[in-house]
Amino acid sequence: MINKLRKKFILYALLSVFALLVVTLTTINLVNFGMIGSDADRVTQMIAENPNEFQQGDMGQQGENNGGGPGGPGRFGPDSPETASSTRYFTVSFDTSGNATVKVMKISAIDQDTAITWATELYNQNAQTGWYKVSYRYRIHEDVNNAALTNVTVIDYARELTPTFNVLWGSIIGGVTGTLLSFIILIFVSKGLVKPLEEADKKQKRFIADASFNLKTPLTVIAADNETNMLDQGETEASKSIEKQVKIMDNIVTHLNDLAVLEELREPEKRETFDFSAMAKTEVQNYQEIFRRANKELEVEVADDLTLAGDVTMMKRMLDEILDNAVKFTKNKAKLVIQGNEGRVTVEERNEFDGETGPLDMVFERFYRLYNAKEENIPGNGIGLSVVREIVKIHGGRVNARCEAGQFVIKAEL
Amino acid sequence: MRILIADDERDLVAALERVMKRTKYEVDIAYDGIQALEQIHQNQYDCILLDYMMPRLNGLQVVEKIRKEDNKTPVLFLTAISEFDYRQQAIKNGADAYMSKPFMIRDLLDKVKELTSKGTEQQ
Repeated sequence: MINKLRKKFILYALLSVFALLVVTLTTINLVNFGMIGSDADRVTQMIAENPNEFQQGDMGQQGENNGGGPGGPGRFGPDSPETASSTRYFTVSFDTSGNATVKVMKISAIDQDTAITWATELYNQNAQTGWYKVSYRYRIHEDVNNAALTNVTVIDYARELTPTFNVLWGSIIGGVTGTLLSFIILIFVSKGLVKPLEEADKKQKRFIADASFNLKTPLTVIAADNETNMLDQGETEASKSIEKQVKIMDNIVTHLNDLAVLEELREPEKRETFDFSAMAKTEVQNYQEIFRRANKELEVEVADDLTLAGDVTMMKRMLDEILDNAVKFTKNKAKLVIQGNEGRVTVEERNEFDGETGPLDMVFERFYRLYNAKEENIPGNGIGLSVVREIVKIHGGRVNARCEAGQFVIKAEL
Repeated sequence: MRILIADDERDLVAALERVMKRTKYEVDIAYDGIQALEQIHQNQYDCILLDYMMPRLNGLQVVEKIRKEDNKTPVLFLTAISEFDYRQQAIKNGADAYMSKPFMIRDLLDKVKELTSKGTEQQ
């Protein structure tokens, strides 16, 4: 239980850290990419509005106004007076018939044919500005000198984009590293956090074990005195009732003690490979008589030659508890099927059942009893299936309960 | 027939003593392992009822010692510990049978009767 709690804590804390990192780093990078896009758009706009000055690499007063200042709208950093001369771009003009003419070629990496191909592609789509081939920013605009012409200006923004991509890669690496680091820290922190709970859990189990152990002697004294009285004075209603209640209490304290011992274990103390089929067949034989006496029927299918690596005593106990549960609760007939292969074993037991179970996962909780157990005065203490769950868990298996077609089914996979 | 009851739980010893005396057994009492050993050395018993958890010397140690001394008196091991290992250990150390508390007095009397008759046969 404590380990499960610790795992849950690590998982939720890690998910929180991861979500926080994702949101923070995504925001930073979206803002960064948004700003670099705006910045590129300002440059293409400057080209569209001042084609001649830009072509000559001299923005004159406008360049000086922008250079070294606080920058234009949407821009935090200053414009460089060298923007015009350092910007690599081309502009292609389209007349009303769609004929393309290269107007400016201030770029060395692209030839005129490629420029026309790219511009035509951009001219034929809807967006007025945007990114093209990752690092090129384009703008479709009206020619300032001839309103009949539509220009497509494409600038190479690879150099300006490099820091933005560096931030992106840094964010990814930082995010992954941060998550891993958080995981390592959480492993250590969670250990300290669950320690008080672990100690409280141990104390509780110890208390249950001690209490059940120490109740055994007084119970023995009560039973002994009661039996002596019965021998001396004969059986009375009171003495029979005491005898019955002592047996019930003995059953409870024995189960509680066993459960406390089982809950302490993380794996079987003795693990040996044994013939599960042979063991199961012997156990089942003992129960055939118990079922017969209860006027009930037990149908059994046990596959031959099943082997399992585990504690044979615990496995006997598991079958014992399952069959004990079956003989108490099935209406007329129960069916036990044991199958498996390659060292794995599945035990499935079906009871005839027509009532309400309540939450099915609760049937493995200690002291939980089905609705009809008390109504129909079915003996038991609601601990047997808890013992089954612990034994299966110790062996690294799983157990579940389900209801289907008038049957209550317990399935243990080992 | 004479039996020794060795257990540190005085109420239980008293209850068992009443039952055994009522069944015509002659009963001696010991409240710890050393007392039990002393009694065993001084007297001849037909059966010894031995608790596991006793002060000074536990039941496992007592039965181990008397078996080493070649004492073949039948020993019935009484324990509140239901774990399989302790029972196995008791048998390994030389106990003839074990019973887990709480037990039915009828079952205890049957077991004592069985052990004493077996002891008598061996003698």
